[in-house]
Amino acid sequence: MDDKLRDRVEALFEEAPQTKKASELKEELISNLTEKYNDLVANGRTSEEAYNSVIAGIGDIDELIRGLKHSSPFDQEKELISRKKTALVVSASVGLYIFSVIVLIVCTELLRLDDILSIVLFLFTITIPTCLLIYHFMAQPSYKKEEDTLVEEFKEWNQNSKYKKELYQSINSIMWTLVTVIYLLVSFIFGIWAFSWIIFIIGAVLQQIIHLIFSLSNRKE
Amino acid sequence: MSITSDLIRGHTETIILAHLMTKDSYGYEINKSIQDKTDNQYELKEATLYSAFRRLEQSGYILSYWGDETTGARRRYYTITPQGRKAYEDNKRDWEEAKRLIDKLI
Repeated sequence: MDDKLRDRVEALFEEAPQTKKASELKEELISNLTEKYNDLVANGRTSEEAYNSVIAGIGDIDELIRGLKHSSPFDQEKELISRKKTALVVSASVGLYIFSVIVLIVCTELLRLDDILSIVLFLFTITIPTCLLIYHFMAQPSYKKEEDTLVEEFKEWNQNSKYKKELYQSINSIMWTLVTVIYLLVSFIFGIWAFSWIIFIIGAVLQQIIHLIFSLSNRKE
Repeated sequence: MSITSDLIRGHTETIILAHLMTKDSYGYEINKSIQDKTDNQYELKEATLYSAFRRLEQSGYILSYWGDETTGARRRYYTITPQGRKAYEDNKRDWEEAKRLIDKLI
């Protein structure tokens, strides 16, 4: 009789999209209906009576299935807001990149600052928009599911792992840029060229640590 | 009875929240307790119950998790969130107010 109930629920879900949500709802429904059926039989109903009573109790399932198909209009509003935010972050970053070149020209030509100091300031200005861009794209999901199907879920997973690789590379490049900036800055200000190279060894250690964190978080998934 | 059902249906979500205020629960248990409390006079249709669960989840009033039953099928349990508790209190207050006014009117 369990199978008869299960078949009936499967038939009800024929129209529903093949998604994780739908299969979870189906599992939930089957488990609860089976328990109800068992209770009715335990209370002295015949299996036929119990089955009919359980099926009659389901009601109009179309509403539920419609709920699985459509995303709420709320999502579209959210998407519009996030698109505006992306535009703002990208244009601010491009502006800062252009500004960093201006900083370089002003430092060397107008203020007549030392070359190394100018380059340090230039690199420092570059790190701000780079961090801004990376933070922004890290904070939002990169792949928007069009439908809630298994294929889309796979695509999302695929996209996320590619995105992780890119994230790792950008963190690395930021770190090395910063190391170079600190190296030049410290050496120039304190004149400790003889010792300051040690920062590159520290940089290599940091890179290994970042690598370790990424592979650990991959394994967790 | 059908008009009564319609009146009650508008409060399905508050009824579910009221049940979850005391403990985490799953679909059939909630429906059974509704039947028991009303001396078998009222029972939710499964479709109504699960639509309400989805709406409550989307509003952030409840969360769901799968139980680890050793025998039989897995159950999906629901638990109430702090927002859910607040919504329950608000809805209950609204209902008391409406009941007081309707009692005066009819």
